[in-house]
Amino acid sequence: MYLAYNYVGLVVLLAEAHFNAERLNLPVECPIQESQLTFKYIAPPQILRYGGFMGAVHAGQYAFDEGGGRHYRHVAKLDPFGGLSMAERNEALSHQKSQVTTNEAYQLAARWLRAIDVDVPELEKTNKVEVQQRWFWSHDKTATRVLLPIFDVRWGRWDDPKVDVVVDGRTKEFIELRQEDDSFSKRPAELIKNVDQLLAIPDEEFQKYSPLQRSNLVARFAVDKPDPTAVGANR
Amino acid sequence: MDQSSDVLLTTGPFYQATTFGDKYVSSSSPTLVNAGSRSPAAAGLYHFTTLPNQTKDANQAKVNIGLHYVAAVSGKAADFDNDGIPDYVENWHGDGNYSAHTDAETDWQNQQTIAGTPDASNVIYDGTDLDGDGLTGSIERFLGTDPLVPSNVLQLPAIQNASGFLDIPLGVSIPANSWSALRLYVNGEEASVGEVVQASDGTWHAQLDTFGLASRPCLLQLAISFAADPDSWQTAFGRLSLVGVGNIVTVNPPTRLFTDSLHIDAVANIPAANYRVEIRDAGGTLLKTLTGSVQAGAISDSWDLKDGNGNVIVSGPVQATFFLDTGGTPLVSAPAIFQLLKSITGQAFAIAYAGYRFPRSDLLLSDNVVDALCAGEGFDPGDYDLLPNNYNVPYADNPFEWTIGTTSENTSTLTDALANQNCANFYWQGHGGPNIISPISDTHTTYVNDGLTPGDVARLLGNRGQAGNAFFNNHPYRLVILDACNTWAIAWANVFGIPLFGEETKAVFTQYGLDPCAFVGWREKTSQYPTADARNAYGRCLNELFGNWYTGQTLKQCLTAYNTALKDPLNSPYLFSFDSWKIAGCSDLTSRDR
Repeated sequence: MYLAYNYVGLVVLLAEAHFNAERLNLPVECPIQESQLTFKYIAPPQILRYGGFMGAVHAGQYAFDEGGGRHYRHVAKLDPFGGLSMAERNEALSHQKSQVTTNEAYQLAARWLRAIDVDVPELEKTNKVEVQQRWFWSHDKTATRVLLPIFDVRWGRWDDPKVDVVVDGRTKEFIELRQEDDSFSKRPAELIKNVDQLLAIPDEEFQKYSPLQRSNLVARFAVDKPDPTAVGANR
Repeated sequence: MDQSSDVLLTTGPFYQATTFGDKYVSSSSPTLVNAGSRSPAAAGLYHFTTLPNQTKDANQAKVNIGLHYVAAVSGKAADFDNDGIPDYVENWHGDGNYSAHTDAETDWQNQQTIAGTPDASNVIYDGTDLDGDGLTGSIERFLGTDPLVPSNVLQLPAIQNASGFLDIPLGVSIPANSWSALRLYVNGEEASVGEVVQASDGTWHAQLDTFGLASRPCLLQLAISFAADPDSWQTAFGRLSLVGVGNIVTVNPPTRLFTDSLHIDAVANIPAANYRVEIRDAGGTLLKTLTGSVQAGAISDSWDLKDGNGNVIVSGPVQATFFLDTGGTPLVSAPAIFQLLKSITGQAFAIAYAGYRFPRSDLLLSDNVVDALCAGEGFDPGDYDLLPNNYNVPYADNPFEWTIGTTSENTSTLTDALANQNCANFYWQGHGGPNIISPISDTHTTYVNDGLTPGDVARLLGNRGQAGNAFFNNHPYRLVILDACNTWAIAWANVFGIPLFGEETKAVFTQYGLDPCAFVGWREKTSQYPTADARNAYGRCLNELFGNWYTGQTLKQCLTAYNTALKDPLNSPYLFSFDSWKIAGCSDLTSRDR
């Protein structure tokens, strides 16, 4: 059901993933094709009323999540610690050195946000930024708190941040870019427009669409007008 | 103001002190008796009097003027039928006319308004505490206590100096297999430091680990949650009991749990220069001694669980005894137990429900839970493996429905799924409470007053030291959502191996090397209309919960989104109190934490 909606939904998710992957220079083959995905989720129509379109795709080692009108955008590295338990992870990380300081972690985080069109100066006008390095209690009494090479950079209240970036200090890569409030993003707030009209397209009709018609469909309903052929969603 | 029945006194009134006060009117001129503006019944004063001879105003034409007291006999409130309940309580409308209030009163002139049932046990008093002991009629009936004899079996003793591990035998028991649970509230809420457990001899005990409390008075309260059926949960409380906590150290509760190393984070409650901590196994054998200086009142130390040869020598809980050097003989604490935890290893998600709450609950579960947890058409690596096997197939309407009946029962299908070593997540929707989740009859006509209790789950999973297991949580779960009435209970979180009952964050779990996990229970009775519209409404809410979960949002954000859907006018007319959920463990848990 809702084949037209699912098609446009997938195209816009792939387009956003493509945008993020390219801007963040992620090791993901671009343009991202549907065939590359290891996971895809397109919110069912019945919950669109709670904040518009929502979905997620996984490509390479990354998850790309979009919350539409929920003001949620999220890019994350999948399984960044190799499936270790917390105790094993702490132990393993404790032997690895951070290549960055807290200030450098902040600089990296801000750079990544700028790369994906977040207006960082505007964000910082009203949201204090804070950087914390993760730690755990040591096995060895001579070093009670063991600092880990992982940094949380957050804008807004620490326990309810507007934007949250997790920096892997070992590699200077990000683990997570989480926007809980994307009003500082220059990306379109909604990814799909006129959803009711899109949902009204019968499956039988959509199945007869030519590639050009599908392309026109995307142009009509996707806010950012991505090219479906560029993302390989032309099934 | 109507002044037509005013009485102008020329002498008096003369007051007399007797049973209940000192303003009984002994005389006046003219008289104030039968002199008011309306009848005693109309004034609600049928069983009251102004006179020292205790004559009720009753059937006289006009109410007396003056301060009214309950009419007494032999120094007690008048009880015409001698059933132990004063007339003014039975006929609380105060008009002497039981026949006008048969649905709300017992007959004050008849000991057994319902033949065979003493009035004190009448359901009219289910919500009334007749003897002032803090227990209402329904609770007295459930506990088998006399509703007219003050005795609160939920009352805990006051304890002046409590230290270490406190075990309080209880004078109350709950019927086996009943919908009831004894609960311990510490400073107003259930907390990781206290619980009620049943000993092997069947007796019940309130247990308080005072090391986790600040060294000052705390308030304990015993409660019982019970229900005659799944739709009528009640919780009754004993009176607050003051406990003076006086340990020489207070130990940070998360450090009482350990995996690959033991960290001790404690505060010295008396000035001390140095500390020594002796760590012993359950049999009392000394494993390790930690020593150091107390820094700004804090004791912070660690042990990697190894002996001098580098061998791990801990395979179960340990007990730590603190010695504080205050200049003379060291002060010694009671032993504090530290529990060994296993890591979470499973990935699968068990899903089960009991129908009847909604028509075609199978559709509710299949469309909004099963499909949502296998959003990628059930074949993506990011999808959950779903249990029980052969049920919960994505895009098929066959979620697992748990039933028990006279001709069939499939409980083992559920328990096999829960015990599956790959299972680390559980969503239950159906009936429940603080001490049970229960299925539906195999005929789909009634709820079943049987099911799984926390004790059953503990034994099933080998958690809480069951089956001779040294691990506090032999089979810990990552996410447990018990979507049923009144499931917010520490017992449920404990038996699934959720180590902390407060709402925490992953950062805290990281600090102590604990795997992120969470429990969600509901604090109130949730209810809904049994209609397809209600099912569709709840479907939208569950889709918000699990849809957001799949986009990597935190558990709290997912539940907040669920709440948003609950408040939608499209859904809210059908669903009640579903927003009463609460999280124990990591509120920022996500689907990627696996």
